[in-house]
Amino acid sequence: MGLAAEERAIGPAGRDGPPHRAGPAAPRAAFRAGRAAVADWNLALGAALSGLVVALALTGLFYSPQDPLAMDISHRLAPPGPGHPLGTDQYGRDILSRLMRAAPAAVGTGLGATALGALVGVPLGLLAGYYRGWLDEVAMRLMDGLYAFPFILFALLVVAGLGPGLGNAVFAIGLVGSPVFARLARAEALGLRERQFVEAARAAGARDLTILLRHILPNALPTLAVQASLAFSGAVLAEAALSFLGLGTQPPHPSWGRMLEEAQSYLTISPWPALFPGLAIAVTVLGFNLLGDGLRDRL
Amino acid sequence: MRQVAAYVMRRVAAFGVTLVLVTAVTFLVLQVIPGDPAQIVLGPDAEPAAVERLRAQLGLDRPAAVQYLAWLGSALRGDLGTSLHYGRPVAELLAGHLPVTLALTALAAALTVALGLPLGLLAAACARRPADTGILAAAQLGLALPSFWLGLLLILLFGLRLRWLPASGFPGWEAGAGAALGALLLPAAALGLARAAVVLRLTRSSLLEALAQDYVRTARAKGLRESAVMFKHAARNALAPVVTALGLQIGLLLAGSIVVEKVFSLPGLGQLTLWAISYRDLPLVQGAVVFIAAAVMVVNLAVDLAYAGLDPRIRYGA
Repeated sequence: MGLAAEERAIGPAGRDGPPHRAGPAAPRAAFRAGRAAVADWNLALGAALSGLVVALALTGLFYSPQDPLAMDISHRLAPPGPGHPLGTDQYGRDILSRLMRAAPAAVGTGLGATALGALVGVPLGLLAGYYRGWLDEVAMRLMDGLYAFPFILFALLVVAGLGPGLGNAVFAIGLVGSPVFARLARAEALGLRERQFVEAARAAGARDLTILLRHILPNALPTLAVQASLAFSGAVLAEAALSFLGLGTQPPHPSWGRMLEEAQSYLTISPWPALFPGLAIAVTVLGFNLLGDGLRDRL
Repeated sequence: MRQVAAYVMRRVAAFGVTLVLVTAVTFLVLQVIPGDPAQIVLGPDAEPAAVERLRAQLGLDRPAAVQYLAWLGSALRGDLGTSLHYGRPVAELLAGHLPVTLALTALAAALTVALGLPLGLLAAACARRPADTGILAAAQLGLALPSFWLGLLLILLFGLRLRWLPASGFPGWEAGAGAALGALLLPAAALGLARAAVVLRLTRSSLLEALAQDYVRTARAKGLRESAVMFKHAARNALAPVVTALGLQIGLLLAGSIVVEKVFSLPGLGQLTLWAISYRDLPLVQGAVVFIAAAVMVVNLAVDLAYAGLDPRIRYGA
């Protein structure tokens, strides 16, 4: 479902792809230069859009123009106009206010799920790549088991087990995102453990934990930051999908996915309630995808 | 030939291990479900004795590990248990809902390839010119549109405004292939667009990488036309990783159909799974989740094996 899942095929740790040989130097350099220009655009636009979304979420924590739960039956399904800049929903609730009040949940899901995925995946991957052997085998088989689940299917399963709700959705999305973090961290640790500065640290008597935290983790951070950005947008998409299915955020609390689900029943009467929540999701996902792409091309 | 056999064996063994892991995870997650399935079936007013009897009948009074092994044993023989809500075998329900999901996935996959591959090649052919930038921007946009929102927009435009295609529902296979296809066209578009964007980006970057290789310079140096260099030499090598990624994309289409089936009210596996969750029909949830996950894994395995047949480096390597 999420972009994180898709990029698995593209990312440096692609599945069983052929080993690519490095091209000749001259075309490569031109290629790099072109990419850097695109990366700057991506970064700038991505930062602007994701900044906008985060600002909206922070504002939505404290303020919305109207009460997002206040019903007004006489103004139900109103088109955008004075008083209701984005129109009203089937109960006459102000859509702009509901969008703003739903933003913290969306951004919070992205943050929470990404943090959980990284907190589970990165230590496992680092340890597996650093120590290798049976630990590597067991940890990676476990991650393969999780990795075999498509995002949305695992989220559905967890919600079926633990019951619907935002917290369970975050837990499921974060956990199912952890194998990608684990694979990336493992690949980094595998490469870095043979490097001279790690050998030097070991010769100087540094403990394994110190080596992992002070020497290997910092060098793996750029790769992981790119993944975090992509995992964030994937998590926002997955939560929206779950809420659309009625299994994420529970009513009456607004959530972008839920708003779309409710709007579908009234499509024939008014298209407006179905437009803006989707736009909010798309802008969020676009922003963090661009940010991730820009960061990756910059590395 | 020995290497091929060894490679196939290794992949199939890994597939088996992962599949068992998937069933174990599924079983484990569903174990924590609050409430007693027997109580759910019989309702809150049922007599304790009757609940106990049903518990024994469903095997719920046995330890979890025993229940899991028993389930795994019968699952291997094609018996996924009986649905609590429908009172019919889970395998039969899955088989009944499979065709719509398969048709939707196949149509979406065809769309993904038909859109992603040519546009990706085109973008690479005019790399860093306006056309390329435009295609890339469109792909970035396609990636950001949630399938369910795109579905709603398509319903609004083609179903309600223009009335070209049915807005939702499925007429059934009896209605003829044309009507069935018409009902699946919008859902397939909603489902396939984001995948097409991924295939497009991958095709583009893969072809660009191939174009920077020595053999391309050689081909150009010996005076081949640019189109021959592009299609005979570069594209052929560039498409190999795209084929592998395609397996992953088809798996994601299959899983993504859960959401799209709900948007368009299509009677497929996704809707069945959602109903099973809302009825708290555990055997059906378990069977459906394992079945969909296994299907996704089979697609990936098939693609990996086919790919190994095409590219000798894979079976000799790792």
